Amino acid sequence: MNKRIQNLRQLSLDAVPAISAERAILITEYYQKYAKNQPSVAIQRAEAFRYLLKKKEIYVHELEIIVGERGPAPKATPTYPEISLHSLDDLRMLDQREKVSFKVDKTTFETYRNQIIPFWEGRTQRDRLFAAMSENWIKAYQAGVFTEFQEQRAPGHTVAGKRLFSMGLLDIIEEIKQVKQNKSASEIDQNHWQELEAMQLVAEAMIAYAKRHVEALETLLQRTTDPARGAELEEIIEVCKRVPAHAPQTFHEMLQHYWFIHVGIISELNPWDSFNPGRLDQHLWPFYQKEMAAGTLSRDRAKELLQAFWIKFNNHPAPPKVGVTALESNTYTDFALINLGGLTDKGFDAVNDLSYLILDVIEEMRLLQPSSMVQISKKNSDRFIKRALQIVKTGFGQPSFFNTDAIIQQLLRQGKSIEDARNGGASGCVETGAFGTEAYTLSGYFNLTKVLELTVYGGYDPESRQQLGPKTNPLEFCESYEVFYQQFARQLEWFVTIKLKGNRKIEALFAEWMPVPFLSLFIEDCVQNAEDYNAGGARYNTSYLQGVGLGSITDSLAAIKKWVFDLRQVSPEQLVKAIRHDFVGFEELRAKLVYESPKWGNNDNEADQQAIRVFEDFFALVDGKPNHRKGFFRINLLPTTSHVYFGSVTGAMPDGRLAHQPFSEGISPVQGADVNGPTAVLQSAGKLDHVRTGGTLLNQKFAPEFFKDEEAFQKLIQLIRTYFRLDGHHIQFNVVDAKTLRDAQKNPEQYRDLIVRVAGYSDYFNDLGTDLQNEIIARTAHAAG
Amino acid sequence: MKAIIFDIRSFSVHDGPGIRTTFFFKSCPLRCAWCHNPESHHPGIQKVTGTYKIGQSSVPCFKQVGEIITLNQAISKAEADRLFYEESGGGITLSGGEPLMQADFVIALLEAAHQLDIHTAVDTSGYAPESVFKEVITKTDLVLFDLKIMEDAQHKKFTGKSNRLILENFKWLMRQKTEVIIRIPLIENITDTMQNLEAIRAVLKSTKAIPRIDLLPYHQTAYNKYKQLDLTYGLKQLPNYPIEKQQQIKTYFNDLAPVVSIGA
Repeated sequence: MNKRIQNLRQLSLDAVPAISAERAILITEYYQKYAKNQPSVAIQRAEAFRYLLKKKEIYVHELEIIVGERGPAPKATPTYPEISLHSLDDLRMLDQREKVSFKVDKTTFETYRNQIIPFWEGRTQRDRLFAAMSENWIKAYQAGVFTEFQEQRAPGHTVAGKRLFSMGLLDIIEEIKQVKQNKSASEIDQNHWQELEAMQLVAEAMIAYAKRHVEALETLLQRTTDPARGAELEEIIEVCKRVPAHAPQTFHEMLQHYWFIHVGIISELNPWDSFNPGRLDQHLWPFYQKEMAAGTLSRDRAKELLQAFWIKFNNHPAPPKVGVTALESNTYTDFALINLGGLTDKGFDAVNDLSYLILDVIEEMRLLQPSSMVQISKKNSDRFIKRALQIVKTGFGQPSFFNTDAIIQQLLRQGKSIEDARNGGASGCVETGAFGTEAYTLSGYFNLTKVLELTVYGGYDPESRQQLGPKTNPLEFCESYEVFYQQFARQLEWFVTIKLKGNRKIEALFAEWMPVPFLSLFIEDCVQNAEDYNAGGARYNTSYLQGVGLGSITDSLAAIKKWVFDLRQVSPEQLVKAIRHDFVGFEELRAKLVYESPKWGNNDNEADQQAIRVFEDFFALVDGKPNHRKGFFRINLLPTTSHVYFGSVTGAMPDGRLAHQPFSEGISPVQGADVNGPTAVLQSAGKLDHVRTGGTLLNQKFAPEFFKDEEAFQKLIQLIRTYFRLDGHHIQFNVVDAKTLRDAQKNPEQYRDLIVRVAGYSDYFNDLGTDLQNEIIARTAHAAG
Repeated sequence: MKAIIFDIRSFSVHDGPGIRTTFFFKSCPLRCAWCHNPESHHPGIQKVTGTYKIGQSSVPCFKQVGEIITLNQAISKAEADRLFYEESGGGITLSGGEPLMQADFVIALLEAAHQLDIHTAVDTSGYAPESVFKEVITKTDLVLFDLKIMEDAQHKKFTGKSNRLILENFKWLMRQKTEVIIRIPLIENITDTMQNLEAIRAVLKSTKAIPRIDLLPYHQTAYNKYKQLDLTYGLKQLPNYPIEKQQQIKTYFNDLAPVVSIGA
């Protein structure tokens, strides 16, 4: 990387994340002064957006070539009080907590005390949401049976497609006008009309926002004495005069165009997974080719622009949450996951020279954000996998590997067209989506193992000491495993039903109160339908429920089956007593449960059959159920970090796990339980029907010694290929030895740069809670046989 | 038909081409001083005391070294990772111990694998009756053959047996069509003397071309296994084989095979 990039990168790394009250102040001002007179919520939201972009400070650093910041400076992170309101205690905690902290200065604190909190208290989206939930929902939520994604952040979970890169905002405004003209008055109701008005308003607001950057750059140009930088500034000014108003025509314009829109989307609201350019090597490829041939772009310049683009992502930490969740789930990562490789919409191998160039960028930049992945189809070459593995080997947890052919099958099963499916990929952690055409929101993590715990006690929760589920037969009163499993199935149905019902209401609340006209401009067919992204305007609308702890529940069921019912060596009373005492005084029994029971991840059908059964039942309860946005609920199996939180609210389990310890993550085996090597893990994982999910997460840790020679790369390529032959969705590799990690725990100061794979994303090891650190250390490091 | 084995290891990546499943057979006629699979020494099933570590405490337990496996069980184990073999050009490897000590089973398993289109390798010391050796060789796709010590007295001293039978079998093997990979354990001052390396080199030069030589540098990891089995370990004091020397020896053999690799 050249000097400029080195400097910008260092600035980004050194920038201290802080809370900026700028957005909160401007949005509050708008609502206080102007919101009342507006004809609709959509117009209110659009005008608030315009007010924000008009008044917010413009930040341009003298070294930059890609411009635009969400806050007044890198890592100055706004808040979204209309969604959820930070209390003074929240701000204090964010400021003072040891990990993933955000500095809060005195002025911000006072502004919150005097202006923000008094205005928003009791009227946030979060307040509306909790008020709308049933008593059963609240009880289950508080006990940790499930989480709710939309209680602090807006739905988003979406990715840019071809539309964003091929249209300027003026083209989109033209389209809006056309839709207005084509729809006769009878055909379009007031709501849709207002939505179109709001869309036009925000498109114009963004063009004006870009113009403010042109002015800021012109001021810089006047001040600069360096002729080379002067020429460069003129070039950037030209770029910002064209995009995002017009469709981008060059590589540079493309990146700047995307970035303006990205900043717009993450300023409008705080959508989950921020936003994401998706198939970057595909979108940029025609421009790269054209300009390389014309001699107007060199490989080095392309690389520099990409690196500058990368730094922009790193400047934007995830906006911090409020309340308990600020303590338990935290990362600076905002889950923009760049996709490389895969197939073109006509089904050709999509890997190109730029795919490799971007991999070089990832390797050199070594930044937390954006995340990166490679899509691997059977048509992609081994060479591409190998290049990605070389980066994995450096121990930074990126990129991860996704199965394009499985993703396409998943999308086709859900009813997408083949082109939309091939233009798709995975975003966030591992979530499948049709990029640019689908609103696929995650609704919450679902604690499968907690439901099993409740089943053992007949629906009673020993942790929160209340009857949470329906009264079913406790384990002691089940005469057979079959009967016991039926009790579990009843509990599962009860809680899934509560969860889905809640989410339909929440989707309705977002459609009503939090339209996102700006995001809607870029996802097909919101404009054509004159319908907001949050109201079901997109071509496809999916709601995912994420099952968590598959390994833990599988091993627990298998242990109950083996010891209590098949062998009848352990009485149900004895087992329940042992787990209620957290195995204190039951060490021998615990050893049996841990070491002599069938475990998920060993290609052992005794265990794997339980996993398949839970999967099938969870699937049947969720898949195909209607959501509020004219789409359907689907499942995926991923945890992010919720397996730690879910573990913390669940007592000891029959798999020998102690109370409050983390569960297994994704579809990975319980930490340390996979003793038959990676092929057995993949065989177990391959028994699930990934095609009927919207993503699964499998984490494999390898000791760095494994990557010593060329042959090892070949074996890993074959491992990936075989897993993908089994329709496996995703696999990621952590290449760090346990010794290094333990040392990092002891001497965190020496490992400030240590990035590890967590679950679907990478994070700084030092920023992880001790529980999660321990959990990562405990994951089996597969050595070669 | 049954055999006694002490381990089955999947994702075995250093015992022949591709991703393999390796079967470790119990029983061995040799007692190499550096042996890192002492579980194989006793031909039967042994009970040893061990512990299950559970949090801070340990729960004592009996662990079984060795298990009986039927031919059908072995075949289904072999079949389990078929997709991985197909993808990688792998298969199964029969190792030990000395697999030829349970030759009937080994032959039956090789025949079954052949029927099922699974690639096979046999990892052998070559110490087996000529007739047994010949029959096994004709049934396997690949032989991993150890060349340890060429001078007979030294061989006797460090392995407990004369190498005459081994070298006779080797000579015959090198006249067959079966593919052979040579494996040379590198043990300081025992197998890596100039005299021994020269002798190995001379033998290899005089036979048919070999596709690959694996150098297996000594490592200390077996010590705990000896302790658990209550066996004394002669080489306790020996450090891991020096890396510079590994490279030198690799260079020394480099012209004898297209691939000379270090490590297992």
